[in-house]
Amino acid sequence: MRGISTSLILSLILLVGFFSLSAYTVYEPERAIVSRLGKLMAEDRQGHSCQFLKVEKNLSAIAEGACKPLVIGPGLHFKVPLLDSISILDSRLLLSLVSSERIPTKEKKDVIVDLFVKWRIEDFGLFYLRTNNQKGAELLLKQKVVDGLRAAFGQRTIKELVSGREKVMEQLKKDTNSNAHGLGIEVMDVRIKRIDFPPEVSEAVYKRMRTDRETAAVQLRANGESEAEKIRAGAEKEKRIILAEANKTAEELRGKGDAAASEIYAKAYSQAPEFFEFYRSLEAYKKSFKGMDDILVLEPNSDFFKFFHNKKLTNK
Amino acid sequence: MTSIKMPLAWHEPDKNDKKDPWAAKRNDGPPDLEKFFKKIFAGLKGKGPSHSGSSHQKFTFNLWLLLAIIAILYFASGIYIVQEAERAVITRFGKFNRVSDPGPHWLPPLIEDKALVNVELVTPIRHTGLMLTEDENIVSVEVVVQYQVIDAEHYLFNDIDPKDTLRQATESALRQVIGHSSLDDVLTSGRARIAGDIKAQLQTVTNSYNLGLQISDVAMQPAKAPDEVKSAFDDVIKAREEEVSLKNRAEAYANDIKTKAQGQAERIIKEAAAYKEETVLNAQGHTQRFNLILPHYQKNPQITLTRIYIDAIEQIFSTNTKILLDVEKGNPLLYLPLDKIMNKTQHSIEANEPLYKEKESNYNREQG
Repeated sequence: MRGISTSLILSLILLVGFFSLSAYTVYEPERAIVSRLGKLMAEDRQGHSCQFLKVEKNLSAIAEGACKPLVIGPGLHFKVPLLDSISILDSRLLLSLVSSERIPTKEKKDVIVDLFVKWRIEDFGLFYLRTNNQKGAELLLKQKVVDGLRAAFGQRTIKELVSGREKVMEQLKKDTNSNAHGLGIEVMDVRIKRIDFPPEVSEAVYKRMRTDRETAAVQLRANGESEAEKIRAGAEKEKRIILAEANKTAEELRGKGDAAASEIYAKAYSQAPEFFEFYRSLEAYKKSFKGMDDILVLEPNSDFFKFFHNKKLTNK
Repeated sequence: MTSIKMPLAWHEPDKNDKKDPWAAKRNDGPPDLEKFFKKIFAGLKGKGPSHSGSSHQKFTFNLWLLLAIIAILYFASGIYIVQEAERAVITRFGKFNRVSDPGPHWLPPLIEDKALVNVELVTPIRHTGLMLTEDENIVSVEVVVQYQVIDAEHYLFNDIDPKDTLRQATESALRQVIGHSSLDDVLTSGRARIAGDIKAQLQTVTNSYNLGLQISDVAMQPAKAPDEVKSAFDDVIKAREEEVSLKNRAEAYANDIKTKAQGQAERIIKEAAAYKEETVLNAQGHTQRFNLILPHYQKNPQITLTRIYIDAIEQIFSTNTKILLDVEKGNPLLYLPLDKIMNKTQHSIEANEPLYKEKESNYNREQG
């Protein structure tokens, strides 16, 4: 009884030990590559295990998949303890930043370019074989992108680049992809983030922007003054017309008044012209010599002084 | 456990990389079971040899009790609750299995694992920077992108860092759209269009990357000129205002002089009308007076004439300064102290002079 239970427990322990050594989990965004004693596990199209030739240089042969490295998907899997070793690869979209490259354009001006590459492992076996690790793959990829960038920028002016970057990005994606396929990588996207001038060029741009603005400001002010002058001149013109029209009406009115008065005078005075002349003259004299400001220097020989030198009286 | 830890992109567990958080776990996967058996074994041994026969019953009982407790604990630890705004992504042995909706759920621990993702939360990403416009000017732009997770599975498993990817894509899209716009567009009218373009581009990008995100809003803050040229830009704004104020002042002046001119015109016409009435009335008055005297003249011409003449001269002489020279002809050297006499009138001239000057200066101002 005791022997049986002991041996049962012992065998259980052995089982658990074996299980724990052989089971492994591949988590969701990962894939695993298994190598048995240094050789990659592989399978052909029918799913039978086969001998994968690591030395195979012919890419297309691998691509056609006569015998491809075995890629383990997510889940619980088993391996032969001690003989098998597994390598985990990430199946997600990865991001590589290429920052602040100084690149000359067609007009031999340097621009600073930032971009990022979205890529993922397309062929896990190939990727495992051809790249050292993700860092190594990234370095290769970045180098390709920067090479492509230099070529593309050298053919274009800054203006074409700034407002035509889609074409450059498309071209870069295509070029990088053709190289990356050989590494088992698919480049999803190459996107330029920043195309900027280096500081010394920026300063020149700022200077130009300033002069642009100054011109605009001067123009605006001149416009304002010109408009104001127009408005003022128009108003002054109107003022003069208004006044002239008023004067015209006024003269007419005065004329009418004068005419009416003349008629009245003529009608009245024509009754006795000589008396009118006398009467009117005297009225005029009275009006003319009014106040102490006038000095009259007289000789007493007028009718008024007729009696001033009365000869009859003085002679006596 | 609230989330599945994201594995690093590259693992080589064979090299026993200590930094790899999964290395330990991977080898530990089944070990919990192993421990469990070891415990039983240890319990058996500890209670074992001394009084094995008598305690056999007790041991069996203990074993079952232990198993029951473990089973209950195991069951209980698998219960989890998904909040209203969340979704739980369930993996079985690391492989995606299902997505659970809000509410209470159960999963077998050790076999399945879960990660909770908030699918309602709107998260903002802000990007600000100096960038080139189509006309090779530099402008400072800030944009705020709001997004939410719409597909928890894609969000977790398709991209190494969806948030960072979106941030990079935002920068790229913003600079691309600004690169297609002129400076004036960016600074003034084009804001809504630019935000719309960025949103469309970001949604296309997130869809093509399958990030499981949705762009809910893109808001562009008012763009600014870079600090280096700010004063020049401000001056343009000032100039624009000055332009308007110059025009306004001219308008005010125009209205002022036009209104005043209308008043003046009215005055001129009124004065003329008054003159007309006055002249006619005066004429009527004068003639009336004349007509009244006329019959008397006609009756007694000589007397009337003389009387009128003497009355008039009397009136004139009584109110004026006069010098009567009763000299025979041939004595022209006569001294008249006219200046002394004039002195009396001097005051009134002096009083008039400044008035005249003021008028002149008024006239000059109008000419200028």
